[in-house]
Amino acid sequence: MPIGGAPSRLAPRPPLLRWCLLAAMVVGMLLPIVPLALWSFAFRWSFPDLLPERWSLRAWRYLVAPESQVLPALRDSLLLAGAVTLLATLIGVPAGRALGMYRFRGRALVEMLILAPLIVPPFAVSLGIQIVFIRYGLADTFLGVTLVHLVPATPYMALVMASVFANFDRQYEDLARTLGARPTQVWRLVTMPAVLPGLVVGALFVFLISWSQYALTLIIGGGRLVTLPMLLFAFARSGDNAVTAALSLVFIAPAVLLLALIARFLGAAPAAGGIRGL
Amino acid sequence: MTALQLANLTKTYPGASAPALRDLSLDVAPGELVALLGASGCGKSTTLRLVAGLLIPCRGDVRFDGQSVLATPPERRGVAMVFQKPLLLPHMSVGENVGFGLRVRGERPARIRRRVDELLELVQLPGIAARRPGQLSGGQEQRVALARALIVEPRVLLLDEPFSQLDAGLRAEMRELVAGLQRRLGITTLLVTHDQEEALLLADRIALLDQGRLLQYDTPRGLYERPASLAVARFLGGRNFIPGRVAGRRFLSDLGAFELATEPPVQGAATLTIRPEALVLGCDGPINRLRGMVTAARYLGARMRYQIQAGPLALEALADAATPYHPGSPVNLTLPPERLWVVARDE
Repeated sequence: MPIGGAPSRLAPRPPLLRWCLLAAMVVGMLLPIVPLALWSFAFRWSFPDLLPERWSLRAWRYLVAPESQVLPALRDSLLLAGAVTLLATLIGVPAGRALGMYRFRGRALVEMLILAPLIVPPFAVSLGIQIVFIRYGLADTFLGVTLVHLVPATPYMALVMASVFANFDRQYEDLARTLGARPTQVWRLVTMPAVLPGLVVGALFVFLISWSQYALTLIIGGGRLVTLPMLLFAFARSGDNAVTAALSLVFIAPAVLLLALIARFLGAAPAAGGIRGL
Repeated sequence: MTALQLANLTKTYPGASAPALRDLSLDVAPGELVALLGASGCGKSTTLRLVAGLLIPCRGDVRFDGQSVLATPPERRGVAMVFQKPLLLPHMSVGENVGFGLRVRGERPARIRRRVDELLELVQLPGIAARRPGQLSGGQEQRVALARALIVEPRVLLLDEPFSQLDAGLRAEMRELVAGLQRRLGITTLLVTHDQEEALLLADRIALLDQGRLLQYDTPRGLYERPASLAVARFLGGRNFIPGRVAGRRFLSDLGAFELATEPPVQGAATLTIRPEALVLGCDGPINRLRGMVTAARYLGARMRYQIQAGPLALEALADAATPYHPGSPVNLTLPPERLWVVARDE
């Protein structure tokens, strides 16, 4: 390492630069939302005008009306993403623990198998999955779609948790055991608090993967299970810009809300292994 | 107070070619502090984890007061462990950390608070229960870890090199504290250490381990002055080894014959050893004399350390620094018979 080369990278950024970066991030995230918001309230908005010519609540009224199917689709999307998140967590946490903490025979193979769905697009194999699902009566069902969403979702959870557990010092668990904690108490009082930041971030990934899934839902759900992305596609193709914009906002809302709720975990996540570096 | 008994403990880790621990048998009397001493990889930490129940032995038994505890999971064995690192839980306050063992046992919060205060007082850190672990110094953290272990009133206390990460001053302070508390509370204790000085200072008895085998189990004085083998003598800092053979109460070597104070436990080919500080320089004793030449002299403050060439042998001596010998000067050496010790030649 050249003398004097490294410190400049470690030096704290000047506050001005930090504020500029923060402002750029906020603008970058919010700017695309502005035209959507305008469109959703627009009645007529033709090309050279900066703002819509006439305003209207038509799009929003339509969204909550029964014939638009938006409210049931919102409910199903939430239920689906919730179920996928729960199951991916139940599978991904133990898998990540095994990969991050233990050395065992065939570890590389297991790692590759877990990564495989990220390398091979699930869409490519979903037709094969569909044939199997039809045989077992899973096609066109909520359960079937939940399972197929797990294919792209679970690897993220397992990989995030593997890196979290790789930084977790197992002696904390040994210590708690000898002090009289049963295995469930060890998890609740020691391990879970230590891996929680990573777990929350992983769960957010998984939720969003399921939330924005279109193709898999369409193929396995067979049009019976209608989620928000499917409605969004339909409206976008119909050319009704106001309704599409309003629906897009509904579609973005949970992601932004969740992100805001867990923002404090995001900063802590890299150190999540963290029970402090020691 | 609990008597601890290890019987023929053997542990081989999965995939390892050699056992980490072979056929270890130890009796620890109630209230006794036994040090497991050895270089890293000798099996001392494995032993501790077997006693704690964090590992299951391949063979052998662990008994508390004569009762096997192998079927008892760690949380019900009644042991407490202090590790190299303090391992304070960062999401809990100091008080919550200390009270952890009582909380998981379902004790009432009021009683936990009272006991936490008592224990923090015991480790000389009163009134810090509300602080966060990150606000403590390294020495304070390790004392909190000790309080956390003692609060559960363990039958057996297991210390896994708890002083090794502290600097010299704090280490001495912590050793005093632990030794004092251990005697006062009378807890049967196993101390794992690679530091022979620490073992000699703290332990009632020392078990010296090497590559999973017990080399010797004895009092500090026994281990230091009457090593059972050349390996033990070497481990405890023995420097002077004279090859030869035993004939009755005499030891015959290339340097001549030496009188022994007692008949040695071995006969035939053997090695004679004497501690550097037991060699007497200068005065002409009636027996066991040697002539040598000082090849190096080092000033250690209270003492001088000399390298002395006597015939084909290099010896080391520690002597008073008041009247130093200089390199190159001849010196008379006397080997007092009562300070000589003979071990079997195991090479």
